Amino acid sequence: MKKQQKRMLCFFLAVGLLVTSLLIPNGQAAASAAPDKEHIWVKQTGEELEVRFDEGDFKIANLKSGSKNLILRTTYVNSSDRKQEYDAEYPWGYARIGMYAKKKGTYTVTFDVVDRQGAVRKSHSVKVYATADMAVKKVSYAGKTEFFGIAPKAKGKFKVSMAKGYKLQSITMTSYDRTGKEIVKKIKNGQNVALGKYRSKTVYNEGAQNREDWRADLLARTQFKVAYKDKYTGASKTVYYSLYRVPLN
Amino acid sequence: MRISKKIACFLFAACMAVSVLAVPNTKAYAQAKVSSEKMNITVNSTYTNQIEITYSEGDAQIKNIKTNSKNLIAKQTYQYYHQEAYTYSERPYGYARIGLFAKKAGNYRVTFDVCGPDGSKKSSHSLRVKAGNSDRNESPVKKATFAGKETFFELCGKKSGKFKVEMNKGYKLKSITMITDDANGKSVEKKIKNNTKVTLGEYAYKSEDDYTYYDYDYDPVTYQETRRERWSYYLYSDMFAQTEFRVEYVNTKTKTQGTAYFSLYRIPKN
Repeated sequence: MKKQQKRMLCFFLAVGLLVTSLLIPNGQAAASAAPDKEHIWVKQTGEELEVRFDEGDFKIANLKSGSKNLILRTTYVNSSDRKQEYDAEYPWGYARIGMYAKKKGTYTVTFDVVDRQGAVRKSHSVKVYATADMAVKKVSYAGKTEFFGIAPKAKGKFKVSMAKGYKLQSITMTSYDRTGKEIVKKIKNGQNVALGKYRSKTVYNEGAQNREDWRADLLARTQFKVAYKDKYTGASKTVYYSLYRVPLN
Repeated sequence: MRISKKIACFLFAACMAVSVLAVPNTKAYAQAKVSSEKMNITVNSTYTNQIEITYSEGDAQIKNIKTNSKNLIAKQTYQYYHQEAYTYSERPYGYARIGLFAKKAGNYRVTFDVCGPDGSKKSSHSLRVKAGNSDRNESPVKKATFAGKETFFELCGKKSGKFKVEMNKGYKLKSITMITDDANGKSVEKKIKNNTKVTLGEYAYKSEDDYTYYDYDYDPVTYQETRRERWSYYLYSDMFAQTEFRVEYVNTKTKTQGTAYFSLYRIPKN
């Protein structure tokens, strides 16, 4: 090989080595994980944030909300020095912190995850937005905003209007075919759709001992799954709407 | 034969006849059993109102479900049957359900046949269905207040106050039970009188278990035994100290009983 070519080759190999060494994952000790942001309803019991534990994590300590309008309490802890192989998601356990906002506002929740000796393994800070707003401002099918009883029209436009700051991500329509099996289809906002004509049917023990056990819906249901981006946390959220028709099957 | 003998013979014969007829039928049901002959349902309720049909021996399927109006929809929603009896089951040959949906208020009739596995008709059934409009004012409890406020299922600012219930016409209050948790996590129930002052619960239900144990490792070469402390920790706690008011009432017309629940929360002491 000529000298020039050798130099080029060495240069590229060196660059390659440098790049791959930087790509090697950081071998830092495992630590607990909690969200950065949470969006909760005002005066709603049952709101919680979840903390995933890692090896050595024992419990939650020094839980503070920084405001008398946000009440916090550790409602669940499960930890151990033994790895729970059966639990793929939480092999070292987890904790739940209950949150109750008395008033609308933005709060900062801080807490530590400590080990058995009481030493802090990781400190967490979560921004909590407590609001009373609805993400979906208006939802309509065939021009009507009421969704109970039998839907009067077999075909119509399904339209969603999001409140300011909330971004619509997708709308998925689920209905059933003549055999009772699910049909899933993504639709556009404002699209003209035909509601499902058949009801859902689930069969068990098919063919066993000359019998077929099954369960079915009463009406033909069409379900719309609306996915949107939360205004405060940026996380994806979903809300469901259902419409019913008299089934053909 | 003497008259007394004749009478005695007659009486014995009569007894025998009666005992033969009085022997209980050992079969579960002679034919399929239907849950009721009459049903009351609410118009436009997508909650499925169901007729339950318990299959008897030889029954396998429901066919020919018909209603006398297009305003009442009836469809089979559940099917489960076995040819040979499951003796431990309440329904040894299985059962089926028919769901009902009324588009309009009215009086309707539903008919259907219970058939064998080959489709042959085993029994025919008919039901009367009365569909009424839902009346939101028909809620049994007209008004419930604590310390003068109608809000429940929220954090309560007052430690004590009067719990008062007003029933709607046609309903009679039977009892009010107040349920709280004590400092040991035990549930406490106390019957209270309507419109009397009570103190709300102060403790949240809580269960905690810090479990340590030892692991022993024995080295067969050095004969050394090492002991390791192992641990597992579990905590469960309610968010708040909950006070639940269980209101029991009776419908004066139908005599059916019902229960309504109202809860309030306080910041717990524990």
